Amino acid sequence: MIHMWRLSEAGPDNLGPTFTDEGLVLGQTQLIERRNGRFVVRERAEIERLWKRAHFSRRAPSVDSLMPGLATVAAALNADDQCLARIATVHLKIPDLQDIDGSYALEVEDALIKLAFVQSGAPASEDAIGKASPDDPKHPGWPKGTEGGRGGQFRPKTDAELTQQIKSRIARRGLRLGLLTILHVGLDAIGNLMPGVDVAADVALVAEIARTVSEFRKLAVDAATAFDFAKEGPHTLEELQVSSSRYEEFSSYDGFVKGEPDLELIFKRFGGAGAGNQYHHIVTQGGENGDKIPAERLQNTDNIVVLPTILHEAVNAVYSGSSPVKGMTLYQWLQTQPYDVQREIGIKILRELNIIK
Amino acid sequence: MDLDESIVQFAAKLDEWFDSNAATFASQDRVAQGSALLRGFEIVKGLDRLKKEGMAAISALLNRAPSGPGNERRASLIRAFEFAARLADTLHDELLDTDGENKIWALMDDVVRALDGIGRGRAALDVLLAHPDARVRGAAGAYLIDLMPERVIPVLREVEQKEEANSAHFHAAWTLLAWERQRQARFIS
Repeated sequence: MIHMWRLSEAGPDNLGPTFTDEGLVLGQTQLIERRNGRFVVRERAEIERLWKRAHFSRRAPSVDSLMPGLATVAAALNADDQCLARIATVHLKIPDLQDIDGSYALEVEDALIKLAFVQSGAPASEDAIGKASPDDPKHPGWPKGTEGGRGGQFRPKTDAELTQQIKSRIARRGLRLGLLTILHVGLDAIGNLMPGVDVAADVALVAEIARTVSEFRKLAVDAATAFDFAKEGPHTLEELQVSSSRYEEFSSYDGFVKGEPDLELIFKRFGGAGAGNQYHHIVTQGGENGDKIPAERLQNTDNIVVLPTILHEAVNAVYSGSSPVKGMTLYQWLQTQPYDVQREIGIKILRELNIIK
Repeated sequence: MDLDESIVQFAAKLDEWFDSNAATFASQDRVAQGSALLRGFEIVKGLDRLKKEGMAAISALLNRAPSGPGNERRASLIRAFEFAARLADTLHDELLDTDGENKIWALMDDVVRALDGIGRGRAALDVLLAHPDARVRGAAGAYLIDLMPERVIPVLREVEQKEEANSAHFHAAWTLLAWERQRQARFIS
């Protein structure tokens, strides 16, 4: 039998290998990813985990034969040779995943790898354990050959590494909030159900399982987005703003998202923030601000940034927490302050949470 | 084990629950999913129970010996404040539970009002400015900055500088900001 090998089209239903701006993906899961502006092949241990989990439509290449080929693809991407990258990928003979559940299973494994990274502060690679490696974020070491015989010894962490750890910690808090919300809703729905109490309880549990599975999957995607964000180096405010090219303002949030009414049919403006992300207003748009600050000062490309949903929850939690004044949340107290003070503090919160540098 | 440490442990259980059940929820195995869900419910119930116990403990200390000797009542209230400060920040920092955090800060307001009826009033919280826990130092500073700014400001500055991305840090920052800009404090708006 003759097999045809090809690349797929990127999209939510994709099951095969394809390219996005961020690298090479299989289904929705990255095999080659962009870090600090360069394309890198994921750790072998991570690829091995993904390969074990993947259900392919036909026989897939072994990890041994895959890794050198992926390195070739990454090198071509870094040389901006898109043609070679694509030809080299086809030569890898990576089959499509069996179905969308298979693609999701791979995404889940990917999320687990990233979560393990966050929990341990170290890559999933087993051979990284116990060594002072230049690539180990928790216990970084001087690279081999460093002058003064320091190669392989532990070195102080850089600001970027500390930032990454704090971001990951913040993301973990946001994930816990999401989990507790899902479970509380379920608990309320079922009451104080104990296993095997009665038929009605079992029926309620079955319905709750379906809802939880759906919510859990969404949260896994949000978590992966947040931990990807945390793994990247420090971000600038400009990188998170929706447009770095020019300032634009809108008369409403709807206008920002969808376009002004008269233009709505011609083109959409910024649209949704993307899977796993949300828009965040540095100066908040609700409450008293909605009445006292002109909409254009709130709905503009300087004031709106894109944040991973889970990190946005962490930012919101700071606003919802206690303020210096009794009986007011920080959100309420800030709205008693002038616009410039609100903006300064809004940026301070993002900075203190290490979301921006 | 302290209550705040128990909450940290439950938070870790929640992490483990998520990590170990991702594959189960990706599968079609409804029985395994049901078991996972029930385990998740147990964790939530455990956390809710801890929170309830914490609130009850603060209330009990607040209401203890209301007509007893001043020293005993003051000690009880200071203990309630210390416990509440740690619990409020733990709920926020581990679980982003702002609802729980705000309820406990409301209880701390009650504790401070009760202290104001005894001897030196809330100035008695100054013993907590030297507390080893930054959460407690920061919370005490928030209630004392208008009474003794010369003592409180250095304490809060140190908390703001040494703590990172947690409630203690933010409380210290907001307290200093409101005081320095507008002479606002917890009981002065």
